[in-house]
Amino acid sequence: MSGIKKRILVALAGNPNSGKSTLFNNLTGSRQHIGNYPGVTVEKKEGRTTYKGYEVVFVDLPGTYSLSARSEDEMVARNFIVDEKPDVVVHVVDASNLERNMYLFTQLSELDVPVVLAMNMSDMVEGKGYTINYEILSKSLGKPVVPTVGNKNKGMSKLLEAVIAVYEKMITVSKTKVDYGLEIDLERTKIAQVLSKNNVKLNGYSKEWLSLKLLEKDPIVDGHIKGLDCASEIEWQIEKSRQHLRQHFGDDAEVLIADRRYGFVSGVCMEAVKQTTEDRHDVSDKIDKVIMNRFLGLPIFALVMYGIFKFTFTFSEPVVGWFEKFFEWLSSLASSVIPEGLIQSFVVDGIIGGVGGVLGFFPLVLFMFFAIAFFEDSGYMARAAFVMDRIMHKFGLHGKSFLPMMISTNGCAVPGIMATRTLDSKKDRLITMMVTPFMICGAKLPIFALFIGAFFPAEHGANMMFLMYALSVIIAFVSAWVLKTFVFKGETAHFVMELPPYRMPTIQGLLLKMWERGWLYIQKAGTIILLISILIWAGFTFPQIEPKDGMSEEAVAAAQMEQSVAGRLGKFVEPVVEPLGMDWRGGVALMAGVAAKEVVVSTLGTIYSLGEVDPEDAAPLKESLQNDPAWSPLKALAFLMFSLIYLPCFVAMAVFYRESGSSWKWTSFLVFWTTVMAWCAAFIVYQGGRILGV
Amino acid sequence: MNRLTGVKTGRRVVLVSIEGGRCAEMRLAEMGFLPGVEIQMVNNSGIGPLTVIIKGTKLALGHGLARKILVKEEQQCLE
Repeated sequence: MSGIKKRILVALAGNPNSGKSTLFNNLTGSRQHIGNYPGVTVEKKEGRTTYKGYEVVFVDLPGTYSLSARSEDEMVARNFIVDEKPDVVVHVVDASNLERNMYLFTQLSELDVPVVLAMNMSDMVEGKGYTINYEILSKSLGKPVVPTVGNKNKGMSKLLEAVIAVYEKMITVSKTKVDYGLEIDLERTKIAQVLSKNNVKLNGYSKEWLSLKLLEKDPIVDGHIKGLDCASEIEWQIEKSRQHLRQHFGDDAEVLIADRRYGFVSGVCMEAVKQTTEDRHDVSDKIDKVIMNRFLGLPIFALVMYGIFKFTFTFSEPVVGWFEKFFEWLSSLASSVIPEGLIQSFVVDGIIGGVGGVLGFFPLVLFMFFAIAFFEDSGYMARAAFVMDRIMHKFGLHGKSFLPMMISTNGCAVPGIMATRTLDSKKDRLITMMVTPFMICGAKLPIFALFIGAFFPAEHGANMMFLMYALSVIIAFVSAWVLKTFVFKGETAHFVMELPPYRMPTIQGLLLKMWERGWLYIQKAGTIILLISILIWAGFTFPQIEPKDGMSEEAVAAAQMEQSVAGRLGKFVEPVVEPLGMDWRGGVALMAGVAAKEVVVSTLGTIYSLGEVDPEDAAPLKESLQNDPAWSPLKALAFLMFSLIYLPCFVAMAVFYRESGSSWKWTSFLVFWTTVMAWCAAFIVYQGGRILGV
Repeated sequence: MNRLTGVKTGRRVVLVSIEGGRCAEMRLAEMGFLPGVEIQMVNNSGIGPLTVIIKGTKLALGHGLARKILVKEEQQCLE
């Protein structure tokens, strides 16, 4: 027994929806997000396991149909394989959709890495009306083939065995080559000759591969060539070769190459796949006929969204009430145990008042996550993108922009912004990134729940929430239109998207997903929100003032807050927010909310808790707001408008900066754009409402 | 020859060629839209995106993109 473990670096590659992330989770025991729609994994993720004395490190690459590096996610996947040179690449194939999935294989096999094929969802194959002979498949590809069933955790040890066998060279992996035909090969040779003549060596790519990529006009390789001295000579040869092929075949080189690759794949499939019955896509087609119907599609989507809110509000209401009661009890307990003074105030006002306010909405968030997880796992999201495409097109977005926006609505703008990597066009991507943060994410949800709960009748809670979501979509669309018309001119790229088969979500899967996201919410409340709540509390508590004689307790509390650091800051910004119907407290809460949107709620919690004279009899934040004459339903609405639109939280802005190609220009534009728009919208709502006499 | 946008729901057609930009052509080719491939029209409402089955997968296709795909009739209506 040797103590030193051999380390094997394994990359997981595969199409979107091939069950790659499920395999990754099975193999590494991690809990990565899975969805039944394309583009869930856009960043590579790492996990590890030990097996028979080996340490196997898995990297889950973004799901792609190809490695042509024409969009960001493809670039991430290809660069990893090319630059990091993993010991083994496991190509995860949806076996029930063999032909399309194998296209990627042709590109993987051209890169000099050993490939193992995982035939995932192999239990679905028969239902599709055919059988696969894995032995023949393995022989004709020259690679080990392992059938797996990701969601039933089958075939994992066999897969690991195959990975180790390939790593230890116990199995010989032969180089599979697509036959591109004489004409293409001839032109490739010509390009390779020019490369040799000029002694071009790029990152150790083989000339064979380079010549193919150049013929395809691969953007990355093209970019490398552009910097060389001999660029013009190479480009001249490429153009000549492409022209020759166009004359000969009547098609562009990249189409010819794709054609030969698919030709190779269908050749392999013909040998290894036996059709038993004709697949008719029956059930799925029937559902789609209704859900994607030209007239019914949109109303159904609206109904689904409304159903999600109705479900969330109806079922979470009593539970949220219990949570409120619990925190109320907790703060009176803390007040009675801890003697009056700074420490009591720290615990009751700072921690319980702040973090408690955010945690109180935990059940609501959980119910929301559950409802949305149901639609994600079922396969409906891709259909919703299809239905929305028509409208989104009019605003300069398209169906593919819908998914990042949905991801933001379901949870957080950060993965939402990352998900824009699946968009081909840079302009489309920037526009989508710019409007994704407008959506009401999990962190903004408590703000809306708090104010809607406080100022609008309970029976209209779900309706109001639905209205707010609809408004966020409208604002996103309108800003996309403005950006498209005035800033990013040009035509919107068109979209192709796979519509995965419907799957019945499992209760277990839904609960797991709900818990994962819910746990993140709690973690955030326990860390960053807690930290900021403490800072906010300190900001309102110091410097301490000397109470004058004859002042009532209430007056002392009020004077203390107004003269504190945070209070003075609030007073400073008050003139800006006053026309929006807010006083300095709203201003402070919104400013603090840039750190994380939940903080808007926790800050208000702290402010109202500090203003409370008798901490043992503290009312929940909702009631404090209701009883405060400084607020009214109209003011609440203006406040919500501002919260809806104003700049994204700090983390989202950092991600935006990175994903926009570290552009200060676009990041500052985002800050300016959202702030100005938020102010204007809140101004119109408040002043308009006043004129109308609301 | 027809455009894919002019193909009625339920029909099967064969792809002839793709017009237009290189990027669009490449994307389509990678998804299996190649000359000679059979396309089954699942849903075409005349406006907005349409759905097709190609190489065993159901795909949604933007209207503008579908317009660039030229096809010819292969056989009669399925249903």
